[in-house]
Formats: sequence, C-alpha cells, structure tokens
Amino acid sequence: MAVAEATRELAIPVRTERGPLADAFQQLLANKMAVASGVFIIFLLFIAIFADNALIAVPLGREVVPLLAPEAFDQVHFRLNNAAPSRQYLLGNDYLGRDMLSRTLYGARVSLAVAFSAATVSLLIGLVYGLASGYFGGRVDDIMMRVVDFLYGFPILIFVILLQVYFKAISRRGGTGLVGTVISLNEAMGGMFFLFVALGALNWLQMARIARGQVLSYKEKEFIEAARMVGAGDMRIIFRHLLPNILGPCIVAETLAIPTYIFWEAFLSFLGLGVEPPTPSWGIMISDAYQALRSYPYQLVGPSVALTLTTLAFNFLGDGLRDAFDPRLRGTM
Amino acid sequence: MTRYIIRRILWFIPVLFGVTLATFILVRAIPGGPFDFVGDKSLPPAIVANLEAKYHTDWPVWKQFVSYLIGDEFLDPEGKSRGLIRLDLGPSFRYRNRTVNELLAVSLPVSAQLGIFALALALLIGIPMGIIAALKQNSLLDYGATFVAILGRSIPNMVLGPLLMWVLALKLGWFPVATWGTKPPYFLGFIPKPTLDFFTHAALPAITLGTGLSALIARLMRASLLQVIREDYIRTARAKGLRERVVIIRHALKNSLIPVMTVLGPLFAAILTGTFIVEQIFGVPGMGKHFTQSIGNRDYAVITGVTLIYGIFLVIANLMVDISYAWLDPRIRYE
Repeated sequence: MAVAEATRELAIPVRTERGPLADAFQQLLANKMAVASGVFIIFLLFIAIFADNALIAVPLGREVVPLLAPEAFDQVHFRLNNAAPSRQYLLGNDYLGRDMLSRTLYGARVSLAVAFSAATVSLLIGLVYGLASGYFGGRVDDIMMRVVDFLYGFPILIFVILLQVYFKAISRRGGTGLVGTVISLNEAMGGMFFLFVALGALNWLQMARIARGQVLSYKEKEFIEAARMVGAGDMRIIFRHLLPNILGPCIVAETLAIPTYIFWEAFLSFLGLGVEPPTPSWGIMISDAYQALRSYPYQLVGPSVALTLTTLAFNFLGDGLRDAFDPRLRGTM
Repeated sequence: MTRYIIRRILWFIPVLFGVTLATFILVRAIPGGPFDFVGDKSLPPAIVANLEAKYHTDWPVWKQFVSYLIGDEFLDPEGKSRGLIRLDLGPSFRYRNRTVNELLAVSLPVSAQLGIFALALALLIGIPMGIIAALKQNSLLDYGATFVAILGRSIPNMVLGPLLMWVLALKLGWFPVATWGTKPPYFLGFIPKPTLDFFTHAALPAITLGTGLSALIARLMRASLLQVIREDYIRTARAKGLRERVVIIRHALKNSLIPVMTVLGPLFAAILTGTFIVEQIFGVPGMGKHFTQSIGNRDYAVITGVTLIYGIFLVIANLMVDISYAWLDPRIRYE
C-alpha cells in the first residue's frame, strides 16, 4: 500500500501490463510505411477475391460475372487487338483485345494466392521439421540438420523450373486415379496448384533452421521444465508450449520471403512455366508486352506497376514486422 | 578454421553427387525425349533407335548414371565419354558433335562477365551512395538515397529490364537491343576484347542486375559507416585536430568497409540466380539461357551439366557466407 502511494506521489508512470505480442503490434502501428503497406495489401486482397463473383457463384452453380474488374479476364475483342489506352479501356488492350486493366486486377489473384500458399506450405514443413529437430536433439537433430545442410547445396530455382516442366508434361499427358485427380484439380485452379507445391516444397530449409534455433532457445527455459514436471507429454509440450512461442518470429521470417515467391511466380510465368493461359498472371502479361515492346509499350504499364507496388508493399510490411518483433535487427538488412 | 574449411570442401562431394543424381533422374522422368523432334518434324523410329543406342538412352537409368559418372568406355566398346570423375560432362544430345564441356566453355564466361559487371556496378554505385547517406544523416539526401535503395530492392528485374530497354535502347537509341552474342563480333569466350561495343551490349543486362545489388550495398554501407563514426577512435582522430576528410577517408571508411566486403560472399549466390533471370530477359547467351533452351530440347546432358555448375557455385557461395560470418563475429567458432 505504501509503495503504491509513493508511486503515485512521485508520479512514476505505472506501466500497464502488455504482452509481447501487443507490444509488437503497437510498434508496428507506429511505422507509417508498414501500416500503409498493410492497407494496400488488404486492398489488393479485396481486389483479388472480388474481381469477379466466383467465390459465391461457383458453389451455387451460377454464371460468373465480373464485380470489381470492368470485364472478364478472357473477354476477347478481336477488333480491339493491341488497341491503345482509351476511355473505355484505360490501360489499352492486349494482342487478343482483352482489357489490360481487368487482367491486371485479376492478376492479383494468382500472385497473392501463389505467394500465400507457397508461404504456408513452406511454413508448415519448416515448422514441423525444425520443431522435431530442435526438440528431440541429439542424434535425431544431427541427422535432420545434415539433411538440411545437404539440400542447401541444391540450386532451388533450377529445381523449381525442372519440377514445373515435369508437372506440365505430366498434365499434358493426363493420368488416371490419384494422378488424374491432382491434374484436374490443377487445371481447375488454372495451373496454380503445382506452383504451390513446387515453390513451397523446395523453400522450407531456411524456415526449418529458424524454427530449430527458436526451439533451442526456449527448450531449456523453466516453463518447459515445469510443464514436463507436471507430466506433460512431448506432443503437448511441443504444440502447447513451444509452438505459440516460436510462431511469431517464424511468421515474420516467412513474410520477408513473400516478395521472393511473388517474383518467382512472375518469373516462372514469364518463362511459360507458371499458370496456364488464359489465367492472367503479371508474369505472363509482362512477357507478352515485352514481345511487343517496340510497337505497344503501354501494355507494359499495368502488370509492371502492379508487380512493383506489391513487392514494395510486402518489403515495407516485412521490414516493419521484423523491427516490431525483433528490435535488435532494426536497420540491418 | 583450416580444418573446418577442409571438412566443408569434402562435404561438397556428397552434395554435388546428390545434385547430379536428382537432376539425372528428374530430367529422365519428364515425358518426352531428346530425339522426339528435329525442328518440327518427328524422326522415323529406326533413326530414333539408332540415336538412343548411340547416346545410351535405351539403357536402364542406373547404368546411364554409372556411365555418366565414370565414363562409358567400360560399358560400351565404342564409348568416348570420360565421365564426370575425369571432368567430362559428356556429349550434348542436341548439338551433335559438340560436348557439354565445349558448350559450357562458351556460355559460362558470358554469365561470369554479366555477373562481374553487375557486381562492379553495384559497388561503384552502392558504396558512394551509402557513404553520402551516412555523412548527411537525416538530410534530404539521406532520405532520397534510402528511398532509391528501397525502390531498387523492390523493383523486379522483369520490370526494370523491359523498362530500361524501352527507354534507353528503343526511345533514346543509346544501346543495342538484346543482341549480345547474336551477330559478330559475338563477344563470347573468356576475355572478349573490351571495346566500347562490348560494353554497350553488356550495359543493360548489367544495370538491370546491378540495381538491386547496389541498393543492398548502399543500405549496408550506410549502417556500417554510421556505427563506425560513433566509435571512440574517430573522436580521438578528430580531437587530434585532423581534418574531417582525413578522419573519414583514413579512419572511418576502412573499418566500415569490412561488413560490405563480407557480404560479397552471400551476394555471389544472389548474382547466380540474378544472371539466370536476366539472361532470359535479355536473351544473353549464357548458362541460364542454355539451360532453358535445353529443357525444351530435352538435352539431358546439358541440363545436368549446367545444374551441376550452378550447384558448385552455390556450395562455394554457402561456404563463403559461413566463413565471412565467422570473420565478422569472433564469437562464432567452427571446429
């Protein structure tokens, strides 16, 4: 009681108790660029989801019509091929007369879907692997980390490309049973499913290392020992006590990797190894525009601006998240 | 440290073996073969059979792999390939009468030149930009440099490449349009004549690749110099009455360059991926371009050879990363 009074008299500000998560969130909100980027990404997500009404129309079996996009992405106008920007088509038309603005808006769908899914796949594999390796330690850890070291020598981009070539050739040949199901699923998703697999399945090494390092730093803490003392099993300790603590830094690391996925999707599509036409991807659109650069340079505008802004936003958000969660790293790369 | 490096280099062997084996199997699993088509025509079955016999693609995969590793003289009386262990990557399946070694001897230097140019450009732009930003901290110049650096990091090669080509090559006509290696003088081979002509061919791809790298170097240089400037020995140098320029150039710069130098190892890996991508955009006849062409041709030998070369560079880059970390942070010790 006396202490409380003394505190009041000395006007020492009593710090309200906040968890580390709320603290980090406060930090993030103070970063204007990160907040602006977050708003932009939510806006982009909104466009990606509501470019047309497929989300509602497909389950109900109704006709899919564009909502936010002026036209459907595969609406062809043969008279308007390569038309310059006009009042009706603000960014012009591509070589089939399709509206560039609509295709750019739809392109957000592929870009974000691939980026988030690849990030989720990579996060899941990396987390499970890193948790197991760090928690069980000893020989298990040695062997599992050896495998990671081993795979680090693999040029990932090359293998992503080879895998995509493999998946594309397989889907052209068709198949039966499980293979057939996966191929038709991939077709229904415009070729995105195999991209998730190829990008996510090959990019979990960094995540496994981060997760393991985090586990090692928490493993010997008192609260884990206390949990063990009251009889918690390995699974309970891993999922109830370790996972919530290491999840934050792992998600931050994965957010920092999202621009890479966005870029790789665009690059694979640029090479013709990404999504299947006519599904619009910024990579395919840049590739098409690039072929016609001499005659129709304006076709480059939409997809280029969209790709750059999205990368910029994710970079700012990632930097902001990292600063908020791990202030020691502020100002470094 | 020496023992650690030796152990890491020995570790290269199983890794590169794994890379080779994985590529070897994966390319053969892809439907379609190297002799399906010549141009647009398909070949008669008899000729395909002969070609398959010549290149051993009719063998089981394990036998093909063994012959790839140790050479086919032991398994085939007419074989000429000396095998990977004697540094022979075998004959190309598509460019008849040429070996993968010969093809790589032409395309690897092109990729290397592109990478070196980009790196030189990145250092030339990034270091001064970082220094100016640090010396004029929180000024308009600093904010400008930081903004440019973030933009440079975020603008994808795929956007920057076509943009530069449109403005500098098509509109202003300062540079040729993606003609590196397509007409004489080709500028292939290890040391092409460094004429002005060569630099104009290499400029756009190198700028495209170098921009992102220079942004990274500028950020690092700024952070490092800001830290060094606050050290006691800099205050001492100033207290001695040295002129500001001497303090910065003689005392501060030297130490602040250390982190920049150590990042060159990790950058090496970024450059590898970067040259691959920029080669596709500008049609530069380097290893990456060869790789994607060979995929379409199903030229198994070239695909495996190029992947192996990338693998070798990658493991070296990884080792350089770890060594540079140990050098930077004495608390990290390898044994």
